[in-house]
Amino acid sequence: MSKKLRLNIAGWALMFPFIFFFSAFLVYPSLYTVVHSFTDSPLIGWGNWIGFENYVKLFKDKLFAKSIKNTFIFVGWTVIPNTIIGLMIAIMINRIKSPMYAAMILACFFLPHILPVTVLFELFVSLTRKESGSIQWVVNFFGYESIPFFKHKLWAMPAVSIVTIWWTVGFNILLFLAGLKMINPEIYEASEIDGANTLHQFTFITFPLIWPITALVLTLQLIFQLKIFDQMYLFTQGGPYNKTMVVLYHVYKQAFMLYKGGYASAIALIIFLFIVLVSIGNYYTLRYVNLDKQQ
Amino acid sequence: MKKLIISFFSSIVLLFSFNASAVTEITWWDLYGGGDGEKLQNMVDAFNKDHPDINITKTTQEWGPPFYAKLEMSSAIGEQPDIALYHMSRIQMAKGTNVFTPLTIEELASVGIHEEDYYPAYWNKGKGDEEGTMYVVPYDSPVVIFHWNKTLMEKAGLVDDNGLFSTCEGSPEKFISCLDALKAIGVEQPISGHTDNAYMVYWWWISLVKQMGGEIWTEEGGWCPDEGCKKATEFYASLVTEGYMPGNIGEDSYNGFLSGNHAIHINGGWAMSPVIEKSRNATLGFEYAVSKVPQLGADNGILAAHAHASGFMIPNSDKNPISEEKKQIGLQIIGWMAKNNLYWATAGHYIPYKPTAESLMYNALWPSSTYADIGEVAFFEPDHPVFGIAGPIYDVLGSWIIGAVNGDISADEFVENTQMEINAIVDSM
Repeated sequence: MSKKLRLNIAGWALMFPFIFFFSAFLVYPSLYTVVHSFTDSPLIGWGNWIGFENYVKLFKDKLFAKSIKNTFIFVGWTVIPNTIIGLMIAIMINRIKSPMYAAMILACFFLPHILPVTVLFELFVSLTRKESGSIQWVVNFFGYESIPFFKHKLWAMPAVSIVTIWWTVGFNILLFLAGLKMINPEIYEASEIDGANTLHQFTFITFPLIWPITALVLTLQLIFQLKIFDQMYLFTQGGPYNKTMVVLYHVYKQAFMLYKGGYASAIALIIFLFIVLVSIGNYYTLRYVNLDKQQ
Repeated sequence: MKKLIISFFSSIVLLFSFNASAVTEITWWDLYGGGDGEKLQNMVDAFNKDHPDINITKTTQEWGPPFYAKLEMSSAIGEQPDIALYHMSRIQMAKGTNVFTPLTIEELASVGIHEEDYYPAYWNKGKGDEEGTMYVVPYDSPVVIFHWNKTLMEKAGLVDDNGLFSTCEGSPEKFISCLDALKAIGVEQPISGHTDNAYMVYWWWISLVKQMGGEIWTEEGGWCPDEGCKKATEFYASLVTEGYMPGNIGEDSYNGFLSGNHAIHINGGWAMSPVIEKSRNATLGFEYAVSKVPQLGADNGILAAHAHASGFMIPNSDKNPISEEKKQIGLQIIGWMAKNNLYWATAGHYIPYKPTAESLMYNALWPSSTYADIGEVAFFEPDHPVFGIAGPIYDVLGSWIIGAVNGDISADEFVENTQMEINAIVDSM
């Protein structure tokens, strides 16, 4: 057996487990979903072929339109603020001279990220409990009545967004910190000699050099938050008044509560295509901005 | 030597085979956690002790949609439990999933289960599509009841000669007067309930709709076809907005009742056990009483109290149908549980099984005997697939009813929006 063939076989053998699980748990169910979306299948089993009926229904579904709108509102509340907060905290940690203290502070910010979402839910339900939650003490201290954050028509979306940012910002801080560590400190020293202040350094050195990381964080955040489900399922169940009904919760409702597997598959497919388009668009936009900066 | 080794290993295999065939393992799924979950476990343990050749492994799943989704999906792939507890209101919705193993009248009779031993409304609810079969055998009837701080009620002069609270019944106005009397003696918020939980709100609200002369559903009119829903919503909301009841509150409402801050607490009968425990240990601090929901339509001759019904079912799977042996054991379990359900009644559930419900012991059981007559006024949700625990109605109401009863939106907005959503769901079914 030739060396090339041996290497090929070894390569394929090492890749096989991934290919197997990828095919079994991603490709096959995805193809199944595509086919399902053209049927009137219930949750379990097959239904009848109905062509594009589900897709026509989808575009007339007011709740679907509302769920798209709510998803974008949630993205607006989380993606950019999460990125900015992550960057600011990373810059602050980067300025700490002692590596030990820097590591401790980083660990504190990263700790929420390792919590399962159910623990997050229990924690914040306890903190915001109307009669006894700690956050309500603060609200009452400023002279306001206790607020049922996750049941309030104005507060529900911002409250879930804030919880999500608190939960996920640690990962962004880690990415930004890695990027900041790669910037040569001599550039800052040289700029100080030239009379640059902190703001100048951030605007003309830090931000442009950290831009590739920022673009990555923005893209990842966009993808993650477009797929929001867990927090809405636990905290608000799409309410109040469908104000936190996001697309994936709508899919869950259609499939698991109304037993409309075919229709839910159609919504899921549309969202999948949408997220792919948005991600590609985001990537090329940020890449264009990056090339523009380099020029 | 070779023969010795073979004999040795054969005897090991035989020993394990003997043990394996001696006990039949039965998987049981339910969705009862908390206090009544413990009681159910005690019953399962007692069954296992009485039947050394059967071992039930009980698993309690998360209450609501996850339980039913798991049950139906497990049946689809042939990994279903051997027996499960099931809310009977879901039967209409779930029939199409083929999740029920039909149990014939003869099979049930062989384990002592007879139609005449059950109140008709409950028995009929569990019937299968095929004549002479049952999908779900009734076991209990969880009901929302009123929990009373009798000490405060006496102080306010609201206890009648029978030791009951008839002064608070008859009409919404009489009920409000009751609350005013409690306020007059210093009870700031006389009544409490889970006003942040759509299920708990709905389960009293639906009684109010009926008591106010309305219906939540008719075939012709759909959801909320008359003024009943609006009146019930306005009444409920007035309790919160006028300060009789804390709004947007959950478990703290129960804790507040236990601490003596509220004279009345709306909760299920299933919430009784911890209070009874405290009462028996003299750590409660007040005299405790319970009753079925007050009859606010009594002056107009309308008596109504919403009830659930749950029972035992044997899950079906086309891929892996239950074996005849396990089916017979499942029937045995159903029969045994029915005969021994007096203990289950101590969890606060109404028992629709006449030999228990009409027994002296059940009628002497404190405090649930005070609503032993609930069967006379009980009604279920309509028999339509849109209803049923964890079904579409609950999902829609989850978004709207909490805001409505907390005064965040008007009763008209609530009715209008729920009508739109629910009728759209019904049209698509």
